[in-house]
Amino acid sequence: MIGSSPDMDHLTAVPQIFRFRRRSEATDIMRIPAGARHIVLHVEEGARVAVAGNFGPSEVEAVLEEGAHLEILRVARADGISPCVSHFKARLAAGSCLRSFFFTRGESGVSDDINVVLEGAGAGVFLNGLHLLAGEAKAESTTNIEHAAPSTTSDQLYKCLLRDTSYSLFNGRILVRREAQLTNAYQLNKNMLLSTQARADTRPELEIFADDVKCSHGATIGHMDHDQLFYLQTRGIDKAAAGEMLTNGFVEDVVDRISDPRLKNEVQRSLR
Amino acid sequence: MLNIKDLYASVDGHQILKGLDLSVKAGEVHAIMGPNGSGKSTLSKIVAGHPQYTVDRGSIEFEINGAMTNIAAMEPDLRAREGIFLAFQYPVEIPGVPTSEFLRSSYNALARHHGLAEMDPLDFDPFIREKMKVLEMDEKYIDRAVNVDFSGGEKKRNEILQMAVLNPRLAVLDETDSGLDVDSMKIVAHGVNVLRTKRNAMVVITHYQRLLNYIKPDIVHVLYQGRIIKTAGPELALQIEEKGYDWLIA
Ligand SMILES: Nc1ncnc2c1ncn2[C@@H]1O[C@H](COP(=O)(O)OP(=O)(O)OP(=O)(O)O)[C@@H](O)[C@H]1O
Ligand SMILES: [Mg+2]
Repeated sequence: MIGSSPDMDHLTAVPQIFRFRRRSEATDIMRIPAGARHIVLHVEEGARVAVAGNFGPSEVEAVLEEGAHLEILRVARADGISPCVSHFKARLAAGSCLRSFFFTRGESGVSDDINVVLEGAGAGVFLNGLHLLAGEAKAESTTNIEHAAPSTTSDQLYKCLLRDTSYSLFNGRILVRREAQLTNAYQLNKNMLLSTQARADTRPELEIFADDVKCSHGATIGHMDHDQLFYLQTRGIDKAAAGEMLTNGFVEDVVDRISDPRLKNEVQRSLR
Repeated sequence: MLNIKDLYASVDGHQILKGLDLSVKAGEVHAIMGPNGSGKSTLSKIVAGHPQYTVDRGSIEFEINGAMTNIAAMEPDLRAREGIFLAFQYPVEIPGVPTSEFLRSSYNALARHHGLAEMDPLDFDPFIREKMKVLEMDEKYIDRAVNVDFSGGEKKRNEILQMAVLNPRLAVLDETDSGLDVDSMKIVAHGVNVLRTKRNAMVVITHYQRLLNYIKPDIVHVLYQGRIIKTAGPELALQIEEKGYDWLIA
């Protein structure tokens, strides 16, 4: 990795560009500098890299050349006053793979949007998100995926655990262009409401112009499952512990999708 | 150890059990048969304490510390810690919760209640593997989420594994044989039989006499429209296999 950060105050919107050289494999996780507002990650042909960062309001752009692999963990760092607004854009060349995990917790508002264009054949994107909301937090996640080449894959799982009077909105748009035959596109948004006043909305939007496509989307919004609770209780586990097991399980299910063990560990540690 | 008297019970306002009596003593195995929809699973859920089902009349007593105790208002987890176990007709999937962790939490909940030592993962691992061997279960299940991606038969086996971990005084097995192939059924029946002692009791709900060749009951009941309409010895199961229920209902 070469950080070609311009020698300037990085609180300005001038992008800091990070290049990952052809076929290189970064052994360490690349940390995005705190306070960075505009980042460009350029992953050259065949390079593999894992990136993590705690973000305030920010913009991240990723360019994946052929066969490149990028896994990125973005943790929204909210200041508790103003909502944290972040953007993530990515362009994927043939055979490249992007894995993204967006994580927020707490009582601050968050608004994140992700735009991914699958430009090359066989490219794949895995977008996962986890919001643990409390108080009056409002979280809005927007994902916009454009399948512009054949045999491309997108797979999304967004989960939200809502306490108190928190609110979550998930907008998931999938566009499959006519030339993107043999596309696989999956989208799932699951919301668990832990109070009677928490709310969630989900708005899938599918536009499909190719005919040979596998596409599915689903959403659930509900309270803790009574049958699951009962099942655990019949095994001697008291209601409070059973509830905790179920919420942990709900969360673990998506955390488990992080493929880099170090990144996964980082999220798991911050959950404890 | 279990004494149900004149039980009326309902779910979502529907009266399902209508004057049911059942008395089970330590060391006994009871079989309950009956047509679809007669209330067998309802009975099992009532005994386990499902909050959605309400007892409208009658009583359910279970022996706790040597005394028959009304358990109608007792939480399901406390009933389980006191020794009641239900093997579900439709076991529930719990995504994200590893089977090993679930089983250990369950074991430890009972151990704590009875003042016994809890097990850490290192102690628990050989303990659970031993039990899995009896049920000829592949070790890979232990790392999977509870019942997630288990086949129908594997789920049923997992229920009996849980029974082996908890070693209950009263086990209600709701159609544990449904969905099991012949070989699996023998293995599961063996798994149940090794848990059979003079101090515990079982209520086996089934549609098929075949299971009762392997788990031999002392008493067979027929449940119909929310009541026990016939009680006899093991020969009753054979008669039902041959003649169905019509002759009993008429
Ligand atoms: N939540 C519910 N609301 C209304 N009716 C219910 C509910 N749950 C069960 N029932 C009804 O209660 C009756 C008894 O159901 P139950 O599951 O106890 O039958 P069963 O004897 O176990 O049948 P099977 O042999 O098919 O398993 C059925 O008619 C069923 O439709
Ligand atoms: Mg039933």
